Amino acid sequence: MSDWIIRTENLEKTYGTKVKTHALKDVSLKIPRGSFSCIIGPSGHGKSTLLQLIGGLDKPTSGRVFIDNIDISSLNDNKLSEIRCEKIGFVFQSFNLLENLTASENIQTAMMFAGTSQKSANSRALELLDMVDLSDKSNSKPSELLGGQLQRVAIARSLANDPDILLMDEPTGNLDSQSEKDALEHIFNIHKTGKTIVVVTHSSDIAKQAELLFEIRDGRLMQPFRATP
Amino acid sequence: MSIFKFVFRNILRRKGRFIFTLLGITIGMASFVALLSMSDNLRSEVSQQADDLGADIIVMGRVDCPFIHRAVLAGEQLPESVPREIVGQIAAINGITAAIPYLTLGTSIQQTPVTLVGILPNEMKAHRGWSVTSGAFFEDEGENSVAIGSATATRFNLEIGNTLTFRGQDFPITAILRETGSNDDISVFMPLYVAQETFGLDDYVSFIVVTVDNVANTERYISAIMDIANLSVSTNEELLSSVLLILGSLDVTLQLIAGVALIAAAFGIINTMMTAIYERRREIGILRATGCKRGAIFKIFILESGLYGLLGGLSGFAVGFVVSRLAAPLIEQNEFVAALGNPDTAVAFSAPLFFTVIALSVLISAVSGLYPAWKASKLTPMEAIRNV
Ligand SMILES: Nc1ncnc2c1ncn2[C@@H]1O[C@H](COP(=O)(O)OP(=O)(O)OP(=O)(O)O)[C@@H](O)[C@H]1O
Ligand SMILES: [Mg+2]
Repeated sequence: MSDWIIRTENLEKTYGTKVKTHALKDVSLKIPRGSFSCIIGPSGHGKSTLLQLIGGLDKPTSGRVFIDNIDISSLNDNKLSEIRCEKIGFVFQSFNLLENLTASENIQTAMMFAGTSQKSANSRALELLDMVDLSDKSNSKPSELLGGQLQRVAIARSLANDPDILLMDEPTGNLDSQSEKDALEHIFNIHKTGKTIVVVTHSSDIAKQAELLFEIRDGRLMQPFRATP
Repeated sequence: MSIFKFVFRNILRRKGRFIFTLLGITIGMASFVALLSMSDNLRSEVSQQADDLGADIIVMGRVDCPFIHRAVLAGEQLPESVPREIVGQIAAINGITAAIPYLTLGTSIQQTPVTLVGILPNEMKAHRGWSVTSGAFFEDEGENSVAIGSATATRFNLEIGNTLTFRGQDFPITAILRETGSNDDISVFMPLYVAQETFGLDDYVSFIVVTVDNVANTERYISAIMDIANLSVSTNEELLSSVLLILGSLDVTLQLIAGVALIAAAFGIINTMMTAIYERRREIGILRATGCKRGAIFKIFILESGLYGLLGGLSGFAVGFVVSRLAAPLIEQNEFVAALGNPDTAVAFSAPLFFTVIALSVLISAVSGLYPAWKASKLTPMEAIRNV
């Protein structure tokens, strides 16, 4: 039996009550531990929706999501929060950093609620900033950083609680090509440490590297998806 | 970074809003503190006055309201006067050891209100145990001079031989009394008959302080005095307790006023917190996405509103304390006492009041934060994505 760290079964997602958007239709997929996967597809066809369901940010209308063989679609809010905290790191296209906190503090917030001691949270934040080549920016506020730097802080934050899974929604969508290159290098390096990475992207540079490629069209998973050995 | 630092950072984000919200709770708590300590102060002032008199029984013209009793004792008001001959009749009752008449009059020195007291010199000296630091005490009952309390002398820089003018008539100061720690220190004394003549009050007195041989028989003596004339006769304690009773209902009124101010402050906090949560809903979503539980979001906002309470309680106590110190003497309409900084009237720092105020303030604020914090905790991680 293969070690599927992420599995979905017949995922359906419908948004809205009056005007209904059927964003995901019967999506079943399996992602092995330590793999690098990409979700591709046209705009508005349900890629982000799929990623949000996998990460437990939202609940499916029907179907199930398993993380480490735990059915997270049936968990209560507290348990689901624990899963997000311990097992999953998120990176968003728009960085989503807290504006009034420094780079280091942004990374620490993720640990603050996970019960990490202040001291180790602080040293962990510095260590992560060092990893993304931003050790000199630990006391900078987001307003003092450039796009590429912001995304690297966000990547560092997603690793704060040492999750097994990193979910990234168009992480390089807001970056210039040089910043994109830098960010990608970090992402690939992180993958080498054994993390399972799932990236929603329009970038062919990322897609080229993917071991698994999922194409979503009109809310459906296109078969067969490419699996590169 | 600790959660407290995180909360502190958040509360200071909108400086203007922070200050106005804090002002709201500060004003609420300050009014609470000021009103409470002023009524406390008035209470101890009244007790002090009653003690000072050293009376077993107090006789005055018919007065129905205990507050007027107090005003009469303080010289702020002249009641229906007691004819002088009554004094002799009371003194003649068997078992009454002394009946000392007082004529208290509000007057002024150098535009500052002062109480002038007309007295029978010898009786008073014996009853009050006065001694003189300089000059010589009144030698006869018709002497056209005044004796002054020690604090009066210091306050107005008066010495033996200076004169004070009342009703256009000059009175030399012939004696300065030794400090007693009572209201005597801030008064001016004049022989009773001279005072009556100067102020055109015929043979009237304000009240009579009566001492008895045996306090157990006080009731009997009171009815004996009532037989002589239609007067208001009460023991010192009765007078005190009825004044304190009124002060008690005054307290309730003052607390109600403070309560309204506090409710307004509480709504200020609710409003501020709701606005802050609306503004930060995306950030709350981010925190939730990174694994922060509902309870933690709730805690963040309760701490934030509680912090308003702590800071507002501190500043409110400080402001209320200062205001009550400045205003207490004004409320007693006695600037002179204020100018003296007489420790009897200054509102003292009270640790129990301080802690009560801080606890109350934190409690009110935290309770105000309950609904906003609950609202915040209901936000989902999707807020982070929706509100880009
Ligand atoms: N919160 C929401 N409420 C209602 N409709 C939504 C919501 N989120 C997404 N949708 C709709 O669901 C569909 C899929 O959206 P989704 O964001 O998953 O697409 P996407 O593939 O990520 O597109 P893009 O490449 O533009 O990011 C779209 O039609 C979108 O309008
Ligand atoms: Mg998307």
